[in-house]
Amino acid sequence: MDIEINAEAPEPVYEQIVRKIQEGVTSGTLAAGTPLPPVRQLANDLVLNRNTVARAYKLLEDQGVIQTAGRKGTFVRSGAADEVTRVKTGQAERSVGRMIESLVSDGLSTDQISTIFQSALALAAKG
Amino acid sequence: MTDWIDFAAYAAFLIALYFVQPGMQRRMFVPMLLDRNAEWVAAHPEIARRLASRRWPLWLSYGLGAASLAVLAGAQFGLSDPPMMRNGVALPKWMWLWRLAMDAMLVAILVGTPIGIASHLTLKRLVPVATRRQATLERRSLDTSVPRWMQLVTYALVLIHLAAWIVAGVLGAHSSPIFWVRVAMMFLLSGFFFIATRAIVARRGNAMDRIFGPSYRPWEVRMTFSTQVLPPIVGAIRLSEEVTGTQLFDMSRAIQLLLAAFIAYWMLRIAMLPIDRDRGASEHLVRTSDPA
Repeated sequence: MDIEINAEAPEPVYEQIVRKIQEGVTSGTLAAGTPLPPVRQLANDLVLNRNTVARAYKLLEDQGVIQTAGRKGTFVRSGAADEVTRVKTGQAERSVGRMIESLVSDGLSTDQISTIFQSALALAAKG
Repeated sequence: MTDWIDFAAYAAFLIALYFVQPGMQRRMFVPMLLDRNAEWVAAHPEIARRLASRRWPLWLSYGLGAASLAVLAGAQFGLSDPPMMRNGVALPKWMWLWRLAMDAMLVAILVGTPIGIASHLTLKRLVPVATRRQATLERRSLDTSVPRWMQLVTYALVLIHLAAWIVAGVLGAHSSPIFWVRVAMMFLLSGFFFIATRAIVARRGNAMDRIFGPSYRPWEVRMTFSTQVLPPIVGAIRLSEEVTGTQLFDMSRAIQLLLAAFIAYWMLRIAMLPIDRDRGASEHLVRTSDPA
């Protein structure tokens, strides 16, 4: 699997790496036990500072998506796809929560917010 | 072995060094430019064309190559006399040819290195690294290029070869006064080729990988890996000479010829590699957009 980053995108590069690896895990391209390149290899290939890649790997490790086994290297953990789903769900819940708080502070009732969400979901379903 | 074999090997070496290799670098220039930053090339076609149209390094190389070949041919055809050794005897022709080839290589290094560095710095200064960059998420290892059984056989061969030298030394079954120097050389060479193979496996991805496509790195790894059998081959002959006290053939001469032939083969092989279709197409676009 190849990874592409955009150094001028508003999204930080380490987050792009995290997202790409998460996508690989959820799509099944990066199955459990798949070895990942060492930090040095990926940093060299992407012309990045090693700390940037190390930060991405640390975040993925904290999320339970990958594990580092000493000299054996870094691997995709078993159950990583579930972990990515859990992380993504948590992020979505926090994001929606912040949005709801903002809407409530703007004076909207929970019924109105619920109606807005249902309309938005219906629109999204239509594509 | 006649002098003509030496002459042919060194002439091929010089042709590869001064004609094939610079030609290949020129052929690679635009694909490398595109690999570094295709968007920049599209936005600055005039600068890209100006950089790509510089021909003086190529002509300089051709000139030096022609001069080197002329000197080598002069030595072979007896137009120049070989220098005298300390004992007043003329240097053997094969050694004279070897020295001329090595002198020519030294000139190529002395002239080519500053030009290469200057060209690289110019490229770095003018062409920024692309904001979009790609890399593989596959971990590189020797196993992906060389089958495990071949690795085991090669390492077994290397270890048996080194052990044979030690056993011969311990048993005193050797005839030359520089036996232990040769043992040290065998260890050094074996270690060097082992480390060189590891370094090639681990080296950072570069434009060559993308220009020549995904089969390039495995090929490069296999080529470097294969050099690990050179010390056992050379060492086995040397060791048999040490043990029996007889000289099978002139090993120094054979090693020098082998080295020159190997380098020439490597350069010719790289020059013949097909450029990846996408890169070739991009190169074509740049060339055809040239109004001149």
